[in-house]
Amino acid sequence: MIERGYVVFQSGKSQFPYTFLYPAGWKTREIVEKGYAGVFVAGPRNQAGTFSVSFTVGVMFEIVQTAKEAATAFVSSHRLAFGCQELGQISTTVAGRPAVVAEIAYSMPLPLNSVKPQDTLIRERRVFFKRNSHLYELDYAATEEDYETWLGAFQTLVESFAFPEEPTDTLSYRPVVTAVPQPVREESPEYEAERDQSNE
Amino acid sequence: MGQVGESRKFQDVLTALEETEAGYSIATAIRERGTAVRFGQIGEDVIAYSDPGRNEIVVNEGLSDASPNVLIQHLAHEGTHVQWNRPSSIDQEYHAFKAEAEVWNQLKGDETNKQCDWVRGMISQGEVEAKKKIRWLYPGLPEYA
Repeated sequence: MIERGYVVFQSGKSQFPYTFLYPAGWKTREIVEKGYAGVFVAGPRNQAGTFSVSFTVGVMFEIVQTAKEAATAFVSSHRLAFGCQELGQISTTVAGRPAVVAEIAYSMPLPLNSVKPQDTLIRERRVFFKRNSHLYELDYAATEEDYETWLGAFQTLVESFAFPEEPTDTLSYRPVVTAVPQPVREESPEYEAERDQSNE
Repeated sequence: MGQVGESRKFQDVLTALEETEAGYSIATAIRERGTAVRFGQIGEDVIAYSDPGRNEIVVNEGLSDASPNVLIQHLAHEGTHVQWNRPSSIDQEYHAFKAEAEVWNQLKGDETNKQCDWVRGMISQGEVEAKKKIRWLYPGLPEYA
């Protein structure tokens, strides 16, 4: 059963197919890089028009780290780079596998290409789990003002994440009742780049 | 600052960029293409932009008193767009930010700058992580162009 207000994403480019639910109207794009494959799911812009709420599903190939180690490294690298605050780590399961959730907050000068940027608090929640030798990362990022609005949608993504070739009884997916939040802004240009030249 | 003073300032900035490891090929591209660099009024407080049609890089005139290192760093970013000479993309923005960070790393010494230091932090996390953040800012840009 598909929840109202959500649509199913099925990876096409990944050699390790998976599916998940994401809010209808959000834009998805598959990304393939050396050693990495992912899906970027772009939601609405914040009120200032400087940042897009987004989910990112990524697979890092042939990773030795455990999920717990990856979560710790994620927090450490953001602490070193941006002086982030760690808001907590908890254990959970995704697609029947043990997973670690890490949440952080840090300040970002936005717009990044502005002479008068505003310090903006970014909150990021990332879920790590392993499948064979591959590390999966489910990421949610939003400005503080939008974070709670779309957290339920991210939880739906996490709970619906599944590997379609696996028997159903090993999957963690279960239908959940989650209120579908309203977009902060509804105009379509919010999904477009702010400029069409290479200006910064 | 008069036009002559401004021109001399950007010549010095370009020379300094040329002397950095990451900036040499960028400065060479700017010189070889004859791209003009000038201060100008830019809407929405944008730091700088490159305009391929006019073959120029315009730096926000509000930065006319910025330190040479900060100007060199911004020139590294915009010069990357001149060097690539094709429509922007997440990959191109990543390389422009990477050039910024590498030049800033080499030159900054004890100097601090909020924007430059943030970009440096972003690039220090590696390509996958940095591109993730660039997508948050420019979700409509294609991955490659």
